[in-house]
Amino acid sequence: MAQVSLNQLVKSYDGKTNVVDGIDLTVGDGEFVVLVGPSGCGKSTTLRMVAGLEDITGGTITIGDREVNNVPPKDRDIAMVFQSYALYPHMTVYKNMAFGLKLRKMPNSVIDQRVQDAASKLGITHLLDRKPKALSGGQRQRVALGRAIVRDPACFLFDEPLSNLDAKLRAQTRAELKQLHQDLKTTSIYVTHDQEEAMTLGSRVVVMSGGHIQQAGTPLEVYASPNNRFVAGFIGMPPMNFIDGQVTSPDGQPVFEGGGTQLALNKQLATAAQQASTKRVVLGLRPEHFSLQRDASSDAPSIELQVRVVEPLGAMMDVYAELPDGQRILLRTEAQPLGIDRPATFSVAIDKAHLFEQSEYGKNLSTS
Amino acid sequence: MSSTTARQYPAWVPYFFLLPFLGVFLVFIAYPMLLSATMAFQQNAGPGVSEPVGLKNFTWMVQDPAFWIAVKNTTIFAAASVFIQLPAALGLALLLNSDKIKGRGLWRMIFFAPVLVGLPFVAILAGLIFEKNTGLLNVTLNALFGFDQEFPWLQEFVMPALIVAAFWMYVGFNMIYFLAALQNVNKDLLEAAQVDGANAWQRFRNVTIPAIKPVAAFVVLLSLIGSFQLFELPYLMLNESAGPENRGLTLVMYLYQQGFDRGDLGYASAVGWVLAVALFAFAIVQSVISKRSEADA
Amino acid sequence: MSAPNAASTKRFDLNMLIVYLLLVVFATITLVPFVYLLFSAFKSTESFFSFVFWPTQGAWYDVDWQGFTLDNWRTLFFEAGIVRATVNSFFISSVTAILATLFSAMGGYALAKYRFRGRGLTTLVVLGSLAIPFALLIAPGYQLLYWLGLLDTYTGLILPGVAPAFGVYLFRQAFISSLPDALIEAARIDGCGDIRIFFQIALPMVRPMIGAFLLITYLATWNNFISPQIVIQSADKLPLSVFVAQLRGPYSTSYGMIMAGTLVAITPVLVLFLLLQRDFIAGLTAGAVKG
Repeated sequence: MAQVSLNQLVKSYDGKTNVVDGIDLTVGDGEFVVLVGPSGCGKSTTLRMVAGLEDITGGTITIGDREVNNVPPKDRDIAMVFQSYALYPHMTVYKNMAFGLKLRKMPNSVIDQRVQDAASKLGITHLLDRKPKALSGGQRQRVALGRAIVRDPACFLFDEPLSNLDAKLRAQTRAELKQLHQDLKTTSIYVTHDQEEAMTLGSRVVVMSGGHIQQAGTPLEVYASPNNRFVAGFIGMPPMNFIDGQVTSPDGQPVFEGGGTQLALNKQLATAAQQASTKRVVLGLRPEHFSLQRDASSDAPSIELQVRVVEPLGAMMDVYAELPDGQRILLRTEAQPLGIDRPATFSVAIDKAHLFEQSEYGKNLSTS
Repeated sequence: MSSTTARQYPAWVPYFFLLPFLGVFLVFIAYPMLLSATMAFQQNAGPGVSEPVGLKNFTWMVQDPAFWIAVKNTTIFAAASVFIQLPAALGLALLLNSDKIKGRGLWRMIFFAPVLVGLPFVAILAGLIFEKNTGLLNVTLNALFGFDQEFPWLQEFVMPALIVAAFWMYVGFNMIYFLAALQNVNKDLLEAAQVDGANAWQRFRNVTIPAIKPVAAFVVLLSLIGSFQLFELPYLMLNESAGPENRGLTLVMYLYQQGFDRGDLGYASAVGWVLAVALFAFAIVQSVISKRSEADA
Repeated sequence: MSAPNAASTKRFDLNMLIVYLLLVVFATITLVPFVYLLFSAFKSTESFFSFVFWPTQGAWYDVDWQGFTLDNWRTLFFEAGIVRATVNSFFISSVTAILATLFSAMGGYALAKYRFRGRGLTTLVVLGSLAIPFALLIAPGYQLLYWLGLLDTYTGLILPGVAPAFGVYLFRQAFISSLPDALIEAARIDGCGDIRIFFQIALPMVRPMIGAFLLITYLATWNNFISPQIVIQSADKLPLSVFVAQLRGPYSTSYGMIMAGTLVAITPVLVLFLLLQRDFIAGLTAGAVKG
């Protein structure tokens, strides 16, 4: 087991644009770090550089206390689980798992011991004599995990290992993966485009975009205090609503003006707004931070919306509603009767709102 | 395409894998091609003796009536392959394509068998079958239809005999390509056309034909290349000769006679280049036509 | 779909009847020469000229067993030396097919799965070579073999054909379509060297292409006439194709023996390929459907 450090890591295919543009990240011993971001953000390239499957254009990678830039993949003491599982189709499950150990010239008794242990841990002992073709997607996934486990490496690398499973199996395997990590405590780097997977699995979540780390932190940190508008929009499902506008204080009371309406701000947000380089800002409100206002006299800031579509989810419901200027936003509130195409007033948990600068990666003014 | 990179393996690895191909290519393809470009301007008396003659090989060629006979025969043969044999192969494939046909595998095996016999052996066999008087063909035709048993296939009707023999050998082989293409025609599309009210001919014309066009183009090209290099069939059918009055002379046989019977490898190289240029021209014309028809479709 | 009524069923049957009739006629035309060949191989010269199929004494069913003979075979095996020619053919075809398959697979693998300087150029060379007609290489190839001292040797006959561009192209396509990069990467991480990856991971993934290409090359070499005709001079090195053709020289009177020789020459491949026809056809059509 070991710590993995990326230092000013750069990857460029054409020598002009950097797919990975100077990443600094230290994955502590036994930590489970998830790299998450949209496709093309550089997360897979980063992982593949750690694995040794891509050349490093600049910077260094250290595994344990050894710089591995020029070390071939087989000597990096890593194991990788691929999105497609990459099982050898002409070998049995047993041989698939034993292959890497055989190549390392381990004695057969040790190999057998390790394969049997891993198989029983994953519940695939009965599959050892089968070929991958005869397995279901979930079983193949386990074999791929098994192949990584038997190697007992310093670090596990996961490249979207769950994305070929159906939704139910994905949730189940996710939990098992977490259990497995709690048992083995092997340093793990996990790449996914699914923010939910990132939040549930990672002891730390690293949000990437455009070849940069946008934010690294615990799942709750990136959810509650996003560094910038990108992170705020990427983490959380359904995604945060963004409303362009400006902060004014017509009668000494700070107010957000945008979407054709006004919303009273708290002091903290008002102070934050003053730091903005421009007057124009973006208000970020998560769908779950609205609630239907029952009592008109409540002093929580509120907003009147035109309800368009209601999607019941059981205990909760999703409400698609329009601001006065016609912009649609999404709210998630407790399920209760609501008239379609009728106005309704919602109170806003303004303490949990954010103000951003107006750009894709606009800084979060309210957390700094 | 792979994105594996240099650090994962020694830089020599891909070259190692390519070494046999590159070695054989350089020595036995690239070098002979260059060599033949110089040899085409030489006259040889056997492989050891050569003398530069400039463009004379080509002027001799156009003045040699035998060359033009070879061109004519080769063209006739190629035309027969494309316009008689290939449509028949498509027809055969259509007969076998129906789901209702029983024992498709067996039929396919039967029609495919002649190509396995191989050109030299088909030629030897055909040489006996086309014999006048005693040959299988004349005897059978005589018994069935009262056909002239003395009909001189190998003496006067060499090209028809060649075309029939090649038809027997290759029609089932080309059928395989068409059958594979027909099996790949999108069944949903055929059913959609049926639902839209297209009759069998319209479905064939508008769904099947466009779908098998690429394979048809490939088979046509293959046929042309094969036809223009026709050698073994006439050579062995006619007992290692070009037949009376060169009636079975083809371009490659002409090349062979000049290069190996007369020992003038230089002249043979010149013939080779004429043949190659003709084939390149065919390939280009053919790809232009198939591109254009693709653009129309 | 509507249930077929009586009339349409009847018409449909007529259609199928015509289809089967056509197929039977075609099949007969295809098979009769084989039957002819089979009978001729066992007939004396006399009955060869007298009877197309089996010798008779009057009515067609009254077979004249005296008309059959094994003399053709006796001469062929004990005097003409067909055993040697058969062994030669097996040797030349096997060596060519195995080497051509191995080297084509290696070349195709490099072009499909590695990035290296010269890859684009090499791919172009492979595609360009597909357009070079064999006829162009006959005269200069002979000249080259003469210079290299390889005339009348198996090396001169086999070597030029052991790494065909056609094969490299087919295997390149096969590796691109059926060998995922992740498999190679997984093997690298498992600690597998590149040569071992090729043999243990990559080759098993293109097994159908290996089978098909072995068969195609084997058949093409077995039935090649012009190369051995030009390259080989010694009678005891000749493969069957040239050997059988030459039976018409000194033994030209014996048509039965020529037919017997042809039968010997075509039977092994015919049997082999009819047994493996599925692989073979898959190989033949791979180029057409994908290319």
